[in-house]
Amino acid sequence: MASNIQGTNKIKWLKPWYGLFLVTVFFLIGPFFLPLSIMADVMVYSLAVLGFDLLWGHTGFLSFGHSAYFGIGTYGTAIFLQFAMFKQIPVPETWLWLAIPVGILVATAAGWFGGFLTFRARAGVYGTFVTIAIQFSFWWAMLKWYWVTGGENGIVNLPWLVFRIPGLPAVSLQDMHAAYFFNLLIAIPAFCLMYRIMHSPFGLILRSIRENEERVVFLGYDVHRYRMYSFILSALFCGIGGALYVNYYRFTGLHTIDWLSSGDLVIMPVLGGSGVYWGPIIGALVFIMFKDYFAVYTWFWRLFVGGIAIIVMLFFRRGVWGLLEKASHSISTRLGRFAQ
Amino acid sequence: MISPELIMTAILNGLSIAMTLALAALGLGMIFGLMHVPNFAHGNFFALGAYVAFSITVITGNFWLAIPISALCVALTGFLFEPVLLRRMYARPLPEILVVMFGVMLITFDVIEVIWGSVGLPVSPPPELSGAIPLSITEYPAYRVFQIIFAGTACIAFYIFLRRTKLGLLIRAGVQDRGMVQALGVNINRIFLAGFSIGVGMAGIGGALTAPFTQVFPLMGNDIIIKLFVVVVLGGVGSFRGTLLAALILGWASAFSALIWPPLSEIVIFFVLAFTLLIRPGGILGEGEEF
Repeated sequence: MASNIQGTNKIKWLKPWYGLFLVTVFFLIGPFFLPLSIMADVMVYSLAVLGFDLLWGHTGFLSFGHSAYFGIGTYGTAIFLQFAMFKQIPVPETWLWLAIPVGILVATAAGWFGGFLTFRARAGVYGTFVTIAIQFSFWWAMLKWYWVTGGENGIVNLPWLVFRIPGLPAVSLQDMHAAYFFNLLIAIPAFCLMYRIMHSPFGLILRSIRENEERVVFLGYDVHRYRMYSFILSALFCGIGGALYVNYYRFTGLHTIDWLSSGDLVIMPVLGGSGVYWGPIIGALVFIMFKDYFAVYTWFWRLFVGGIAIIVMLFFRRGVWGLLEKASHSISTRLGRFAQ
Repeated sequence: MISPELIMTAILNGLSIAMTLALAALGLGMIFGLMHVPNFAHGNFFALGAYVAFSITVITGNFWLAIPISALCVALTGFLFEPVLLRRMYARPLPEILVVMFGVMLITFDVIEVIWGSVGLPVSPPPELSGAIPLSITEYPAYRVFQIIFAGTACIAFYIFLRRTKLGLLIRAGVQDRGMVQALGVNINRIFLAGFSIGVGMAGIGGALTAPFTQVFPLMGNDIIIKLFVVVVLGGVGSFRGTLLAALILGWASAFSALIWPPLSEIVIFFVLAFTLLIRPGGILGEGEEF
């Protein structure tokens, strides 16, 4: 990872609000030229991967079990909806949207627990092994708690959210497009919030921990506490991704919480360029489009995912974003020469 | 009902699980201690050992031949693999190595599936070891007794190799201080190559020994790799005794919890991990022990 302590990007013309505006516009007009399910996946996974990258690209701790929090987010939302549907929790239809905050909260709580156990282990790679173990136990719990989670079948046929604002016709998210744009309403503030977190003094401390942990200790910061904050925030964003996933697809299953999906969460920021805000979003877009393409034409998608991980790590360590920075740099120097 | 016979069987089952885990985890721990590479593909080398054992048994009809040949085949795979990819990665930060090894794991899954197919395959134990033998108060399958003894012997052989040979000495020195070994004029790349081949070869033996009583299936590597990492974390990297002890504890925890509620045996090792981390963050034996 190139040391970029400020976390700023090197493409000079890309100002923050400009970039966030571009992201919004992309998600608004994306459904017109890409399949809706791909766009929904990109949105959901960008949020989760941004959360993951706060922990890896910025704090420098690699978790190999972050699909646990994504999966807990999906299961929390889905179980709430299921209970509400069968009246086990007395919730009126118009309050079904509570499922989304519930899912996010459950994921955050799981992240607090996971982070606590993870950082009990000796520093560095031991913690990574522990994250795998925690993820595996959550996966196992979802598999064996089948009378609630449906086991291998997952939870299907969930009710859709309905909104009734007085004086307006009721809006139901039964339509996939409605669900997508409702997700966008939650996702855009979350994107902005993550930008703010990464470029705040808090984000700067996280990156300082990544660069030189010992010096941050000497400066008087409680490194363990900041790592915990980073872990919990990343679980929170994975939880948002998970809740929105259920809202769009209205089902969940073990594939959201298994180990290979943790690997996807690691490989997306690697592909896009980790440590810079825009990298994970680009990574999620490129990865999901390629994976979709490969899943259609061949069933060797694992070969494809693993191949991407190795090739990117060997030859383009800064991912797609690094290539864009290089291209932008060479264009601007050429333009500068032209102007003279 | 829990009877003395059941408890005796659980003790033996735990020993059998522990020996499988110990064989593979010793190799994994050595590779990690020596080269600082968390070998995610270790479970797949284990699976490869089982698959080679399957093929050799089918072709020659002789399981005794399968154990050495599969160990050699897996070690040879490691021998060819290390210089191609791993050697380029040693200078990188650990998370990047982890990502690359994860990629290797995914690719080897597909390679195994392409060669042998995705259906589970049975391996028959040698006819001399079919049936059960009486052990004090219970009867136990003869093959599993053989597996416990053979794997235990292999662990002891590995210990003697580390303690009594020149290469073992260099490997232990490399685990302690890689830079100093290099400074003394030893070609560390050769040590790495030997260490990696031996480490994955141990996983291959473990896979070949396990094949007759579990089916051979492509995801068997996925099932064991997480447990192996738990053993390494609990035992402490570079600690022979710690790894062995952790494997025994996990094996027995797994076997005894199966008496209470069978699905528990899959998950109990994570409870052990969580509990150990809460009271002893540095692993069971703690730090400071060499290989």
